[in-house]
Amino acid sequence: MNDVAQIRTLVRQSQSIAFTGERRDFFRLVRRGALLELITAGFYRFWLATDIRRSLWSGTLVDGHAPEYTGTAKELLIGFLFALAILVPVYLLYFLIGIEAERAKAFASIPLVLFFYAFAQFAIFRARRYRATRTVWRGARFWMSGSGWAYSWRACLWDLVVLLTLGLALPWRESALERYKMRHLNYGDLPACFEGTGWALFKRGWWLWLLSLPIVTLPFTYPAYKAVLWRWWVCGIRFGEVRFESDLRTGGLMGLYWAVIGWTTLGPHRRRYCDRGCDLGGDVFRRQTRRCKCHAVVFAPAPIPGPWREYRELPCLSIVHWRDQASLSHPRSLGTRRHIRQRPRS
Amino acid sequence: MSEGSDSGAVAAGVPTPRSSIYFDGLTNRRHAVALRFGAKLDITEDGVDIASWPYDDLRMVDGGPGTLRIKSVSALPLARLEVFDPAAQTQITGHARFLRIERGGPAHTGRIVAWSLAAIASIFLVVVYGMPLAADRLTPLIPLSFDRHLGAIADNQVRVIFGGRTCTNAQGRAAFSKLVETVRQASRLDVPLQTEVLNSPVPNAFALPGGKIYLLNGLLQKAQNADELAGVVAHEMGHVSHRDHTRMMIQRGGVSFLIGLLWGDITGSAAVIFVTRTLFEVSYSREAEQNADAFAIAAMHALGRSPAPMGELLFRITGAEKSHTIGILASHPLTEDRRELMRHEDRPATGLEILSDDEWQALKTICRPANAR
Repeated sequence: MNDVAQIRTLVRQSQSIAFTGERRDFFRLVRRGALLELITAGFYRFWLATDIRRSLWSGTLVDGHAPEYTGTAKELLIGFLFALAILVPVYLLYFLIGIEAERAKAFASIPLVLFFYAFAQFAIFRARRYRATRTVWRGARFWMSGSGWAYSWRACLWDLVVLLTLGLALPWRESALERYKMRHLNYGDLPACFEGTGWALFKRGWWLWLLSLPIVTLPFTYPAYKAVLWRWWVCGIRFGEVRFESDLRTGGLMGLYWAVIGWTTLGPHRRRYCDRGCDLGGDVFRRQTRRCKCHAVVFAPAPIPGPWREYRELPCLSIVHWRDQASLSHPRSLGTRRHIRQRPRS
Repeated sequence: MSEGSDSGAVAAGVPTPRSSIYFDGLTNRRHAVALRFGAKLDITEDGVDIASWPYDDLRMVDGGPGTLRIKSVSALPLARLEVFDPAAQTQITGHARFLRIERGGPAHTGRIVAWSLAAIASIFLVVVYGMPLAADRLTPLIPLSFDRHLGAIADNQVRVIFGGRTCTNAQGRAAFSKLVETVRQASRLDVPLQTEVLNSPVPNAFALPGGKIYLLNGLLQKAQNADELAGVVAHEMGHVSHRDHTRMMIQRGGVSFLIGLLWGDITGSAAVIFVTRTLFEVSYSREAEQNADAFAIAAMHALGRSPAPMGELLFRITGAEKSHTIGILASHPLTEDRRELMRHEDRPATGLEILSDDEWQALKTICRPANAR
């Protein structure tokens, strides 16, 4: 308890972000959830995803207060059923068209792939909107406006441009899409926006594009790109005067990714890679390194789509990743806006 | 502004120090408050009561390490009280009877598991009983032209695989046409048939939806007389007559649709999907094979010929299967069982020979070029 109070005071004084979650608790949670998921043939995934988010949210101290995740598994289940309602008729229609098209020897699968791609972009936006809306911090709620389909066609057009420019347009895609998402995000009555530019990201990452040209280097450049992207993203976020900086190190993230690759490819050495993964990244408050138990992963049968996949499959690495992302991000001028009102009722 | 300090002076008459933070649900302003445990939970800031929450309305929410964070169902939805002092936390847990009522317990998890198992059972029943029934009912509703569509697709693939190695010896073709036509009339199948012999060493024959029947030369060479071959051709006609392909496609499509949609994103369930589908397809195709055999037997009886030779031909091709196949997993009925059935249906011949000796020889050499004879 003393410990916790100390951490809280430290975080408050430095107006910073810290992750205080216990690895052991997190593994227990994932292991239990994965087991239940096996028993329920996957239906438990909604409850597990909710539990994981609740645990990560409440383990993160921002200016001394942990955010609260108020989403429920039932909402995820209903969302899944809605997605089915959209996808089933499309699937059926495609099936009938496919029979005709196959006969005419047309390349029939493309339209469906395109639709699913657009739908995935829609889902990405709606997933972020859902998570934002269900996040409460200091008694005020985040919320998002904007339309999933408007985001989806923007994303698809940008992807076309990226494809045509062999990836060179990627920074501008990221910044345009992030601007769309962030300008529709609000904390109470405080609107957020995004000030990162495509050019800034290009300047930080152009050498990675060059290094990626021989495709074999991708396993090295991808994590480096992710680290660059994260730092650029964090320092582009604005909530009024509030801004952030990130010290997330490329090497640390690279190590994590390699631990993931090692984990998934080198069966017999799992334990070793996993431990190494857990040791990565500086622990601000707890100097002692705990050996992590990763056998939870063995039971985790089902990746769920979206950014939570890694948190499911690799609890050991994911919690480290989350902690690094949180504790290496530094808010600036967090104290400037202290009287945020709730979302104005329309 | 009382922003922030956790260690303020103890207000007069208040038993707990100001170790709690209160958010009023309107703004995110941090109120450093003291708690008084009277008839209700009184929350005071600088000695002034700012909220009073009935104990029965208190609910616990996620609050981070060492923090008891509570809300009140009768207050604003986002009003929160964060209690850091362990003594105060104990007080609250002692007073509030329904603090944990919204937090799931073992019973909650049990309910999820039970409902999931019920859903799985229901899906399993649909796959095992519902889909075959639906396929049986739907197949007659689908026009024959759809079968021909399917047949055209499959035919393209056959042409790719066998490279158009159609056997074209004129006399052989005439004999084959005669055999096919004789069997077709005997079985009263009124679907227009297209039949070909393909020059492949594989001993097999197959039907495509819509009435296309292929006989492979490998099987033809293993056959010792026209009766053996007629049985096999009749068996394939049985598949065409029962529209097994269309039925199978409806079923397969339905099952993969259902399972794929529900569990498509779960790699871990791939094994489950595989096992269910295999078992179910196997049992289904066994039934289809048995029906086609029955069709062939009836056709041979109508011709006044014995179905027994067909069983001998099949056995000659596969040999005994019982030793190395697990019965329930075989997609065809075991050959020895089929031969047994056909021997059982053996009748003395009352009809004419299907082909004359000359015609039979012509059919056997259908895959040789005309000038080589």
